[in-house]
Amino acid sequence: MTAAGPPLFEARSVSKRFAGLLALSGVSFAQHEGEILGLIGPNGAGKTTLINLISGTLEPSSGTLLFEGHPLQGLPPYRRARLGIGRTFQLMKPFPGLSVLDNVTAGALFGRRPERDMTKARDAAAHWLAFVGLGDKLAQPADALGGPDRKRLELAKALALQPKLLLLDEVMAGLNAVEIDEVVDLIRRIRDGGTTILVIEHVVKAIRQLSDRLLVLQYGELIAEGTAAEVLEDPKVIEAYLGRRRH
Amino acid sequence: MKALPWALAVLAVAALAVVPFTLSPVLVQFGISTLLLAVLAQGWNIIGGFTGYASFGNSVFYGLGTYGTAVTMTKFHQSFALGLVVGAVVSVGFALLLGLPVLRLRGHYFAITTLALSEAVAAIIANLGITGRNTGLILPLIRGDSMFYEMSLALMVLATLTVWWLARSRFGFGLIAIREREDAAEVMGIPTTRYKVLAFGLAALFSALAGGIHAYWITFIDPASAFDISLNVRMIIMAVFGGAGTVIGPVVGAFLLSGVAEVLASTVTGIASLFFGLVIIAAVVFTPSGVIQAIRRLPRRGLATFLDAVRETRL
Repeated sequence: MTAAGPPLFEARSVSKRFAGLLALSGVSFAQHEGEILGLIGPNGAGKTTLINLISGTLEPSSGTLLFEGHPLQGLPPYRRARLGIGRTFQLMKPFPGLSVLDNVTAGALFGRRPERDMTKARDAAAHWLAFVGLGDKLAQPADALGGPDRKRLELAKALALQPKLLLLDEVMAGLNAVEIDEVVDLIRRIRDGGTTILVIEHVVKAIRQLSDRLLVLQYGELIAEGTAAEVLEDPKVIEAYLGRRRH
Repeated sequence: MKALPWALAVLAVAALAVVPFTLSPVLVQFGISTLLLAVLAQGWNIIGGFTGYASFGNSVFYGLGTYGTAVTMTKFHQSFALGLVVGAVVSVGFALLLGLPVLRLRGHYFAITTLALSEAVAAIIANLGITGRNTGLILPLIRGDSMFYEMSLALMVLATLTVWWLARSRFGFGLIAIREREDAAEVMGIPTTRYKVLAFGLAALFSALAGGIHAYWITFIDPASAFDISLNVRMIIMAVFGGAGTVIGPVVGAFLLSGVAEVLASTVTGIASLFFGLVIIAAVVFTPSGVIQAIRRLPRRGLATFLDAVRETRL
C-alpha cells in the first residue's frame, strides 16, 4: 500500500505531554495522497489529541508534523485550515445562531480557496450541503438539527474548506446501522473527489470497510499498523481492546 | 438590495438633518447628545453585538478621543480637525495594542478586565501634567450647536453605514462566526485574533470621534466625565435594547431610551437610572435579540414571538 512520491502528511516521533500525563508518545506515521487512514484505539488512547495536534488546536511537546513536506510547527489553526487541513469535532460545534447554509458558508469564505464574494460563497455552501444530503434544510437554524443531520453539517462545514487532508473525529458515533452505511458511502465519495482522509472511529465494521490502512493507538503509543485485516487479528490489538487472556 | 428600507433611511436622515433649522435650541442640544450616544452604541455593537465580546472598555476609547482632541487643541494650539485625528489615532492605537492580550479573555473575565482598564487609564490621565491632571481642560469656546449637530449626524450615518457593510461583508461574517463559536471559527480558516483586534479598533475609532466632538461642544473635560463608566453601561443598554448585532438596532435604542430618559429626568431626579436598570432587565428577558427583531417578527408571529422569548429565557 505504498504510493509514489512524498507523503501528504507525516508525523515524526510526535509526543504530547499534559502536566504529568503523556498523552502521545513518539508517534510516527505517514499518509499518502488519496489514502483513507483509519485510527482506532481505546478511550483515552490519544486519538483526539493527535487530531488536535494536526489541526493546530494544540502544539506537540516534541516531534515534527509535516504537511506537503513543510513543518506545521507554530502555524495557528486558521493557517492550517487555509493550507488544506479540515477537521470535524467529536462534540459537534456548529455556529448555533446561524442557518445551516451560513454555517457552511464560513468554510467557503475562509477556506483553502477562499471565495470572497458572499453570494458565490453561499452557492458553494449550498453545493456541499446538497452533497452531504442536507440540501433541503439550508434555511434551518443549525441548533434545530437532529443528531445525524448535525454530523452531516459538521462534514459539510469541513468540506467547504476544500481540504486536501480531512480529519474526521468519530463522525459515526451515535448513528444507527443505516445511517452509518450512508456516512461510509459519503466518505468514499469524498475520497473519490480527491481528498485524503484520516478517520477516527469506534465502529469497527465501518472502519474495516473504509480504511486502506489502519493505525492503532494505546496509551499514546502506536501499537499496530497495517491493513484492516492484519491489524484486527494482531494479538496486541485484541489485548488492547479485550484485555489479556488469563492463562 | 431592497429599495424601500433605503428610501426610508434617506428620508429619516434628511428629516434629522433639518432639525437645527426648524426646532428649538433645546431639542438641538438633546439631538447632539442622542446622536453621539447612537454612535457609541453603534461602536459597542461592533465589538459586543457582532463579535460577542461584552466590552466595558469603550468608555476608555471615548475618553482617549476626548483627551486626544482637547490636548491637541489646548496644549498644541492645533485645529479641531487635527484634534479629532489625534484622538482617533491614540484611541485606535490603544485598542490595537491592548486588544492583543485582553481579547484572549472571554465572557466575564473580558468584561472585568476592560472595566479595570477604564479605571487605570482614568487614574493615569488624572496624574499627567499635559492632560491638566484632576482639574481637566478647557477648550476654546465656539458657538454653533447646528454645526455640532450636523457633525454628530454625519458620524452616526458613517457608523451605521460601517455596520451595514459589516453585516454583509466577509470580515463581518468572520466576526459573527467568532461570536457564535470561536474555536470552530478558527479551524474554519478565520484569523480570529486579527479579526477581534480589528473589531476592537473599529469600535475605538467611532467612540473616539464621538468623544472628540463632545469635548469641543461641551468645552470642558475632566477625568471623571471623560472616563465615566456609566456611559459604557448606557451604550450597552441602548445597543442591547435596540438589537445587538443588527444594523439599525443600536440607533433605534439610543433614540428611544434617550427620549424616555430625558422626559423622566425632567420630572424626578435619579429616576432615569432606575429606568435604565428596568429596561436592561426587560430587554434581556423579553426580547433577547432586541426591539428591531421583535418588530420584524411581530407582524408574522404576533403573540407567539413574545411567548417564544419567554420560553427562550426559561422563565
